Amino acid sequence: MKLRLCIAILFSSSFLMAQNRVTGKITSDDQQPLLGVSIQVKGTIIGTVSDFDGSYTITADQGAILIISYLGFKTQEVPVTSNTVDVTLIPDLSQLDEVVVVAFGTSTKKALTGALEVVTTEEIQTQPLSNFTNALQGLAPGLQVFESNGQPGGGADFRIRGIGSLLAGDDPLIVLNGAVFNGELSQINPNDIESVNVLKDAASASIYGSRAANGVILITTKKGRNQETVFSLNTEVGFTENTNPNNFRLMNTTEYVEYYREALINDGRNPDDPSTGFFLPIDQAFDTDWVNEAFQTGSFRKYDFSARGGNEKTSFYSGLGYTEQKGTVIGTGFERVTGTLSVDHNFNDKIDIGGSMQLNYQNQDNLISQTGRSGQLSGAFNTAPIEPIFGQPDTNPELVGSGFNFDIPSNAQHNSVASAALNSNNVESWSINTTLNLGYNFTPKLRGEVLGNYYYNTSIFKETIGKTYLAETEGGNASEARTSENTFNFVGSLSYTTDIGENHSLGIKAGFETTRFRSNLLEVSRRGFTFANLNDVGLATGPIDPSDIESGFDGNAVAGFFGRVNYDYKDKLFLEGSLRRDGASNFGPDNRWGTFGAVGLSYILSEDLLSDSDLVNNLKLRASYGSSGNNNFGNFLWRDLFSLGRDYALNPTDFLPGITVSFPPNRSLQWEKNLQLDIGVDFNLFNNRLTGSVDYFRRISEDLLFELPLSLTTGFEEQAVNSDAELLNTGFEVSLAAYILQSENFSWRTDANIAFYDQEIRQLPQEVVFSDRIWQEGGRSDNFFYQRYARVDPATGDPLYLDVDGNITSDYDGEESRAVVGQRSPDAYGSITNTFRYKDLSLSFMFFFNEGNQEYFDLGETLNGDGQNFPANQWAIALNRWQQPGDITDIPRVRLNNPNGGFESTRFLYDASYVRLQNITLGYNVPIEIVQQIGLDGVSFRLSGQNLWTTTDFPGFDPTSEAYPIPRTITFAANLTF
Amino acid sequence: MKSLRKTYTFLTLVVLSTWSCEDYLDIEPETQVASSSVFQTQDGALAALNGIYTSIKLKGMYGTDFSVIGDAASDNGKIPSDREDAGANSDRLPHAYLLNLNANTTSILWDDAYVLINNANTFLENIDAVGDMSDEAKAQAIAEVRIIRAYTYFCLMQVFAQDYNFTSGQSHPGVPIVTATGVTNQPERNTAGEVFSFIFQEFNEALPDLQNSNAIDRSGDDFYFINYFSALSLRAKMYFYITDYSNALSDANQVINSGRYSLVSQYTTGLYPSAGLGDLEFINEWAGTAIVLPESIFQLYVNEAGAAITTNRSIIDIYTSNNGNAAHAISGDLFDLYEVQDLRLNWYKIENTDQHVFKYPGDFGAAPDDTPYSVIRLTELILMKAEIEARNGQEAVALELVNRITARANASPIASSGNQLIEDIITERRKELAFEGNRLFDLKRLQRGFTRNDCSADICSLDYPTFLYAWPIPLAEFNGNPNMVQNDGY
Repeated sequence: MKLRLCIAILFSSSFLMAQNRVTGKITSDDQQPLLGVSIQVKGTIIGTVSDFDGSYTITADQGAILIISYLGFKTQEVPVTSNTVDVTLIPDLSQLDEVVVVAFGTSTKKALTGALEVVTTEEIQTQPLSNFTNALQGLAPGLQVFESNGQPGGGADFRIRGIGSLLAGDDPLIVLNGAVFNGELSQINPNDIESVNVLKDAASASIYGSRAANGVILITTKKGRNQETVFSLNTEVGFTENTNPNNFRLMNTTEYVEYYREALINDGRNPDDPSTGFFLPIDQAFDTDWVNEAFQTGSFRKYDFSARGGNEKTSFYSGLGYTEQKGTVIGTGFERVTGTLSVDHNFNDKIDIGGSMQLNYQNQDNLISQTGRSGQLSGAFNTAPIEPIFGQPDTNPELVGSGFNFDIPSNAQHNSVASAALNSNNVESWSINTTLNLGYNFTPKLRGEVLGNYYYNTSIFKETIGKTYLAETEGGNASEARTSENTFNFVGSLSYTTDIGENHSLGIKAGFETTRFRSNLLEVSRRGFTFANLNDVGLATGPIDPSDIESGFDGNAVAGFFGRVNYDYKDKLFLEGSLRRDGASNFGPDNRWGTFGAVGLSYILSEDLLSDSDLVNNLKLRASYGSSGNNNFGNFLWRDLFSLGRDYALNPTDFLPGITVSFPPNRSLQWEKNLQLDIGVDFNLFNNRLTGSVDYFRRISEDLLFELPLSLTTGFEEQAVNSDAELLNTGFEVSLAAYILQSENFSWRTDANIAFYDQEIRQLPQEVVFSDRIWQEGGRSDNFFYQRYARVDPATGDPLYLDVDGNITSDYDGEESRAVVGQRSPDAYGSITNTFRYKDLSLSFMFFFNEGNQEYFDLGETLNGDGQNFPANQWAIALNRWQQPGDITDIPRVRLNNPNGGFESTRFLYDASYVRLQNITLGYNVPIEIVQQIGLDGVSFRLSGQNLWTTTDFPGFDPTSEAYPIPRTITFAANLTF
Repeated sequence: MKSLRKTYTFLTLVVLSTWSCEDYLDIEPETQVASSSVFQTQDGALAALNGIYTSIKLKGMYGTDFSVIGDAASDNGKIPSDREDAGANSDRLPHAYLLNLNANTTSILWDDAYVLINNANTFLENIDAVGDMSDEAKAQAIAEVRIIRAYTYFCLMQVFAQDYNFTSGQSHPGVPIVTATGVTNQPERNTAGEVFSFIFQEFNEALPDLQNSNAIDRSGDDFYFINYFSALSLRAKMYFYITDYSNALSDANQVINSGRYSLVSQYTTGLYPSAGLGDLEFINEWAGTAIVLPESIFQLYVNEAGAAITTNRSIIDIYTSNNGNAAHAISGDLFDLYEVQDLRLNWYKIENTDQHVFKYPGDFGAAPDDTPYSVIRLTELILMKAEIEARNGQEAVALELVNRITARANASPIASSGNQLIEDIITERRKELAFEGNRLFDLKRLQRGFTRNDCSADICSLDYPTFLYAWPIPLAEFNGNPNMVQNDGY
């Protein structure tokens, strides 16, 4: 990024003059030496960084101007008048001149006209996570991190400013070091990340045109610096454990037998009669806590080594990382090796080049998803406690030699302990991401840049059901899928910056970008293995069915031209306009190209009105409006296609090649379009003690993809069209930072942010009803649509519901009587972080909250079905069931195969709002005097905790992830630099 | 000048990378094929033709629904008592037996029949463009596709329209005739008369092109394809079901007298391994990957796994105890019609308390869920002819024909006369063709209701006429077609 930084400061031309060495020392106003201060010769690309005692050396001419910049201090310009230039920097709490990465370049916070969030390396690295996506929760208002996953290595999905599509994807565009990134974000080592920037509004994002409708996330990895080489060694170890904020538990054998017997008796059966299939004596031999058996204490280990340094000409960053995690569910885990190398070289004052490469290997053991019945955790939650884990060899004919008990009725699920031990579900992947940058300064004002990027990933997904797992799996089965993904990116641009007179400056950038993506898949499934531990698909002996071998392909290309103009007047009025024209392979030749654009304006009011006020140090107004597109859907929907593999079978082995029509093509398919207005205020108040910003946005999504129903006589059910469906997302985002106490030894800072969102379907071609939601005009697209549960009839013990008019009824229909009863996205979410520093100690903790969303507790429905799901185990809450007339309770009577029981309704819909202590970090920097005595440059220790405490009404393990609860993680880390 | 050279290099790079954007944006799918490529070569056209044959085995068609409805929705069917809660899985067609028909449960047959018709229309619209295909081969392929398309309309009429004689002028609603592709089509329903005249016109026009053609070689496997005789047999069947008995007899005679097919003279049995039930005795002629061989005119190999679109519930899955999921069984009403020595009782095997249908045991081998299914065989023509001859007063001929069927099953010969003979032939037809998907349509043809004595449904008897003999047009059709009119009663 340093190279790009040069663009902004190439204001004056450089002349060839006699050059000499300038040395000096940089200190803060309290005379402390400052390390890592950037010193740049104005108008050139020559720069350096101060070392540990604040001193620096640079080649500069007499009369040249040095630009001294350092995070948290005011940038100064100092003329070179002698061979020694000492500088004292003054703290700047406003951070207005901080350089930020924006689309295709850099800018300063001051000059931004749009809404942008920056998450820094410190904020990410202090969290003990292998996947940085989970670390972003609460750090950037407007960025919603959701469907988090406790699987080691598993990441979160993002959504920026609401849901702007019905059927197309709503994932933001990810840009890594300037190139569109299609890979897995778990492949990026958090330790290698310099910053993550979130572009939320149209002015920031629309230069990415066709793909920016869902916002853009810019990830920048670490680069070299002009400094003495710093080696850094990070070691982090810790443990993880499952959380259970509401003590969710299932029945033990005593409770289960009591409850099940009551169900049998209520159904007219006799549990004491051994001659029926319903014999269930009170005395049972086993009491297995299957859920407890499914979870374990996990572990976390992470080692990172990096070296960073360089000189005026060449700088580098190189890092090697290893992460290993044992999951909180048995059998799951994650292992990753990452390597990165980044080199930048200033060939001369005209040419600079840079290259970076990230290599990644990872190996992930996931939950077993196919046991022939259902998933691993489903087995743990459903299997009755009366079933033992291990079988009795003499009485169990189904035992196949592993010692496990497989004699579990199929409707009572399966032995999840055996499944984890004998089966596997593994993904291994290898990736490489290489980027080459080339910059050429035609003149000090005109610069050209070229970026080429290639990303390759290959993954092997392998799921095996062990030979000894179940007799019925016919000698075990294995399915293996290999994917290879390629992305090519190319960006070329020219930028021109100039000052016009005293007060005006102008920047123009024009360029083009191409991205081409393709992926191939080969999948093979086979049965019948001779040896339990050798399950390579090539070793299978079972017969081959043609459908056992499948291949797949996907591909996409986007090409676009873009231009951007930045203008500022007296450094206080900023104007920005951008335009982009894109073509995408998703669309037919006649509709391929679309044009998107945006304008942004910001005005630093305080410069004129309040210039000397201590109360208001900075007040900036921002507004932007623009359009962007979304092509995040099927890549070939416009084409007339036949599907292969519809072979005409004459017998199990003779097939005549056959093809059939795939789907109704739509040659007029086009981008979905987003129009977004953003109005924001940035402010620094009370002598810069309180800084913050407030944004309001209004985002209209139109031309939305919709599956228009066709007459079935056409041979198709529906066709993808750009409909007149329209979504409106509106919201407020507020972020504040308060420097509450600031003294030499002690500081206290509080950061808080909150975002409020609302969404509405403004237009819809026709109402669409799903099993659990409804799309209708005036409603939200992410609602819950269920029949309302009222209570238990005290006289009969049967559940009562509300009909569509809200009257109590005992009739459940699950169709016409449904009502909109909730939403999946929160109304508001936010976080509060307090950071304390006392001398070399620091303590920071973040609370995150999520308000106003519901979750349907599927597990609760299954495990509290009033007798529908026997012999599966049951949720302990069901012990509060109705038993006799007059009982007042929420849980209906239990009866085997209860005809009135456990239907989908609001009974299992819970408020999923929560407050969570997301992170605590206690840090200690060993004083520099001690460190230097042992020959090091820095030693620090850190104790971190993640997901420590949660309060919520949602009864399950985790209101954010039912599939794999997010664990609590506690780690200790040591960092050495030398 | 060195820097100038670099400038040019840079500009060249810029120019090179913007060059030919349109080509850059053309990404061809590699696992699907553009229809323009399909109809360039004979191989492509034949693949499309094979795809149409495969589509006959779509779930809604012979893959499951059309095969099962004819028995399940009549007095032949029953839901096994251990599967009475199968109602949750509508793809197992519990509604067919229960007759709780509504516009939500019956969509797949309508849907799949028109998917097949659309593939046929696409084929017929594009076949002319094929370069390397002889005119004879094109004519044969066109004729086969027209026969399949017309027969598909017949299948639709069997289910979604009342019987042919429901109104005197066949003015009652049929189904829309769609002969051209187009996603904007929103056709109205044609009358039953219009649909049948279209069907027979198609057959009549296509048959001559099949008569002597072997331009597309199907040597050895001809009973898997439409040829002159299978087309004639299907036309005989259709005439029979619209009670045009003289035309049916004429077509049937042509096939019977051709000498191409011969009746299985005697059913024989053998022991076969069956998952979960041990070795079972089955009729040899009905086991294996190709069935009733000397007499098979048109059969399908219904494979669950081999072709992704065909079916997710094979007939085996629906009928036999495979995985304990059988959703349909034989009613006591039909079972009790067989005499104890009747070899055809080997089609039924008891599991728990019910007799399950094992008429199609498959080959017990590589693909245990796959099975051949007979669309039409010589026996059906013989039984048609017997019934027509009996109706024509040719009782000796009728008795000789029907007793060839009873004799090979070790059943007692039929010796009745007059109306009783016709009834006995109809009953023999029910016994012999059981679970080949005909019973409901025979009842419609005869304009009879039925009574189920062994019955667990709410509806245990029907009187003719009944709205339940014309199934509801699926709701999804109305969502996309404002011109559609629902059948009475729904």
